[in-house]
Amino acid sequence: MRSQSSFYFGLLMLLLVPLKGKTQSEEFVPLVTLNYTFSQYNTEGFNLFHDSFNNFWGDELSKGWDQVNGREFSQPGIGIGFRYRGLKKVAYTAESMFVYGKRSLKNNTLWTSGVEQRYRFQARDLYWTFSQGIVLFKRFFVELYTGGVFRRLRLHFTTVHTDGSESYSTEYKLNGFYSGTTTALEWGGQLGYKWKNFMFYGRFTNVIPNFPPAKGIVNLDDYDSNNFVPTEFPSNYVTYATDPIAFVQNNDGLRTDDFEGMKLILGVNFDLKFRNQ
Amino acid sequence: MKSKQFFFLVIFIGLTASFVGCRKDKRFLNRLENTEWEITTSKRWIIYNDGTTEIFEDLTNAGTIYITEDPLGSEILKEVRMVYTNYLGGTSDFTTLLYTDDLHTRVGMSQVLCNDPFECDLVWTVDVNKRNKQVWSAYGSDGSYFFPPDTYNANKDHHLKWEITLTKVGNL
Repeated sequence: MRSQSSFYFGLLMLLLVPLKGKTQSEEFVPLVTLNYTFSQYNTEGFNLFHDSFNNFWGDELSKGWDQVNGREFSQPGIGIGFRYRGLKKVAYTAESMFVYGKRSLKNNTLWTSGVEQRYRFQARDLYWTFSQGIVLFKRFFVELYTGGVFRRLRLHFTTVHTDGSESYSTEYKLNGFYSGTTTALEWGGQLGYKWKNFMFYGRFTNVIPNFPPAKGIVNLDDYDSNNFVPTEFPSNYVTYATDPIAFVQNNDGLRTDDFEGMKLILGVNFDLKFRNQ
Repeated sequence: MKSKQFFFLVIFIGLTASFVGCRKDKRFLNRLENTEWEITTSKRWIIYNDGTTEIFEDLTNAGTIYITEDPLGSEILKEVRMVYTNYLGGTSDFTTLLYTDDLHTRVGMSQVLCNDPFECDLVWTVDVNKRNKQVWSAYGSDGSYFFPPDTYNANKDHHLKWEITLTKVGNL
């Protein structure tokens, strides 16, 4: 509760900054942004699950899990923030935004009995972005970028029986609701072009995953499971199904920090210019 | 506060609150606390692999569930008493702890099946979650409910489902 209060107090302080208004040589502008993030995450751990499950059960399956390509969490985002910009021909500029986005991925496998197992995997992201650089002729923006991303992952794994009933219950060990978080530091560059109250921008970022280090919260876990260990969602299904002790010792669960990677963001900022500013 | 400040504040808090949020499992359980529910229907059936079903229990007014505060005051647990009579006339009357997960996809009744820490909870899938009506389902495979011997391979001869419909009687 205390940390939430601090969080909102920090946000409130940030909100007040851009409301100073405009002088002759500089201005603070509150912004709303809409963007689309094209992202690529590390598929190795997740596809190891798909491959090892498919190979382990072989002919028992009439359809195996589909492979993922790592771009499934590309997503639209919406956010608000502010920009400082000088109004000379060549001037300093900086921007900070909070941006929120989410996207889901669905996949399934079919057993020869007709039973289906499926998952819905959702990523919800909150970015805190900073960029600073120069603005040329009040119109062209060239900036360096850094930002923090907090990603919450939720994976719903269910069994759909042949009469259509969908179960989260305990008749199959993988059934459940898995969740995890990851944090990452991003860095990159941004180019923008301002036209009227709009600024169109493109940003390319790379990532330092699992930053700050978050050991202990890097797996997807079914925290409310009553099943025997492991309660994590597996990456290596073979050890999960045959040797739970080795699974835990080898840390063969799916790691949340796999789901961070390079991004290309295209978006538009809208200046919120109020009459009394 | 100026209108523009208020505008910004509302949008910001709305966006972040949806992300940070308060724990939904607490809200769900608090809503159930100090309530009495009638088990208006209890159905059990076999699900065959071709999609056909065979009902072997179809009861109305099969019992009552009482949900009260956890005696130790936990916010993520409630005390539950379930009184239930099955199709053979056998009666269960037990008191235990009730929990759910963050999105209340499941409701668990702690150590109903045995006393070990693992595989002893009766775990229901929440199919319908309304203020005055709940539908919960538990499953099994071949001849065993809840934790059948093989919980990995889904190629079974048949599966089992137990569905109870709860109607809120009132507050305690």
